[in-house]
Amino acid sequence: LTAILGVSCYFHDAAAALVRDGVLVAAAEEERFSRRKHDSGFPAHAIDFCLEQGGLARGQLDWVVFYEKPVVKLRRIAATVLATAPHGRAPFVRTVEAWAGERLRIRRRLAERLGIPRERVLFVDHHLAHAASAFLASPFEEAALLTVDGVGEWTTAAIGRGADGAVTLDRGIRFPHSLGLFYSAFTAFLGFEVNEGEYKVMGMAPYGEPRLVDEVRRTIDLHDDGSFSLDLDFFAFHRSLARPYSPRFEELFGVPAKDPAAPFVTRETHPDATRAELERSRVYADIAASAQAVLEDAVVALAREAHRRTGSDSLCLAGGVALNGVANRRILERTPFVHMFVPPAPGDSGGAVGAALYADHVLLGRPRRFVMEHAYWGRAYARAEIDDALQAHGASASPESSPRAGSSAGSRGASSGAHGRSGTAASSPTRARPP
Amino acid sequence: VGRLAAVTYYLLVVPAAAVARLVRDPLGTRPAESRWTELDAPPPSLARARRMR
Repeated sequence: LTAILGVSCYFHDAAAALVRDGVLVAAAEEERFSRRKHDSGFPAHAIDFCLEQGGLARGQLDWVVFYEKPVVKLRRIAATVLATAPHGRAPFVRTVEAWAGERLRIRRRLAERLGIPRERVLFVDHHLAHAASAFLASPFEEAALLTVDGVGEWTTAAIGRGADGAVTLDRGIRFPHSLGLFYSAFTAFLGFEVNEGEYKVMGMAPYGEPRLVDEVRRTIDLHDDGSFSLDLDFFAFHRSLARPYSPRFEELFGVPAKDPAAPFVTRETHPDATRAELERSRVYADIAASAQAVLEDAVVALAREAHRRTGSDSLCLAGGVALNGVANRRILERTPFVHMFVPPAPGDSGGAVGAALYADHVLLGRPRRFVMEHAYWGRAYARAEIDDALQAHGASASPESSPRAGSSAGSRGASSGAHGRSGTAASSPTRARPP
Repeated sequence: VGRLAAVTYYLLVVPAAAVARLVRDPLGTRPAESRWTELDAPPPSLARARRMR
């Protein structure tokens, strides 16, 4: 048996995943153990859980695979510092502080922690890890691949093809032109936390009308070939820690950024709200609707290009932007793809799964033996443990059977499905076809 | 480390950045008709995956 541990950490949503003899055995995010939302630190607890689940002791792993290439990423950060000086002092200082620590010594940290030789620690490109997390967990023998996120090393979106023995990305879009960072700027402007509140923007969009699409389109140019360019005059994510959008971005919409503490009101949820409060919330909802509409157009254009270049009926989609389920649906509605697979953790945590599967199938050349049918790869909780926890907090509960258990989406909380294990991410795998 | 980094930024990074921007566009932000770049990665291999790059 070959045991491979995938690890992702140091950006957000640190995680570990264990693949044994080509089959996923366990996968968990560190936040589930540390209780720190989006914990980005070294995933010591998640690693321990995976080893325990696989019945492995320290020193018994064959390979450990990290989900990106730190030196390439550092080069991108250095280039960004050069491009933005003298306005990027704060990001530069934070980068030096972070990278002077253990980030550049991740190989040694992993080898020492896991009791294996350093040459058994491998590194996989960030977007290849994303692509592998989708294709190598999918039921497809071949598929077009599309990855879209904030940024990995340099790449922010990529298209390619998966087939037996290969996961290949042949075209990419480079930082700073990024759909993930574009959407995060709107997330911050609308009063939500970046890398956390993007789903709230998606959820706010249906409350508004996309009447500001022209304004949003001034910040991003969608090219005829599916690629796109951000107008950096409207953004500040590359030179500021304080906020990802520029003053010009605020001028564009004629309203200040939404106060995170201010409630979002509608006539239904707040019948007593004043006309002015309703109007103000409606403007922010219109901005969300417009940003969502433009994101959907951009994702659909990328998918069309992936289809044009591969001719495949099937699409495997991953990267943090693939958490936008509404945009995913637009792909099926507006492109020729017939089948689509999105893994339950398409973001960075799923990179741990992808890195391990990529090493098993592509680097070691072993046959595919795995299809991800569910999202329950986390820790199982015995009834006695649940009862103890409830008792410790003075709560009580009675079991309730649900006909949908196991087929419904796992939540980011302590949910568990029919498998009795907690979910690894925001949703169950998406295997979709148009109606 | 933070203070040293801040001093380094103004003494070394800012002058170097001014020179660098004269010769190239470090982030590729100039207008373009397309943003696609070829990801002409070499065939995957264990040896390359071992190198931390």
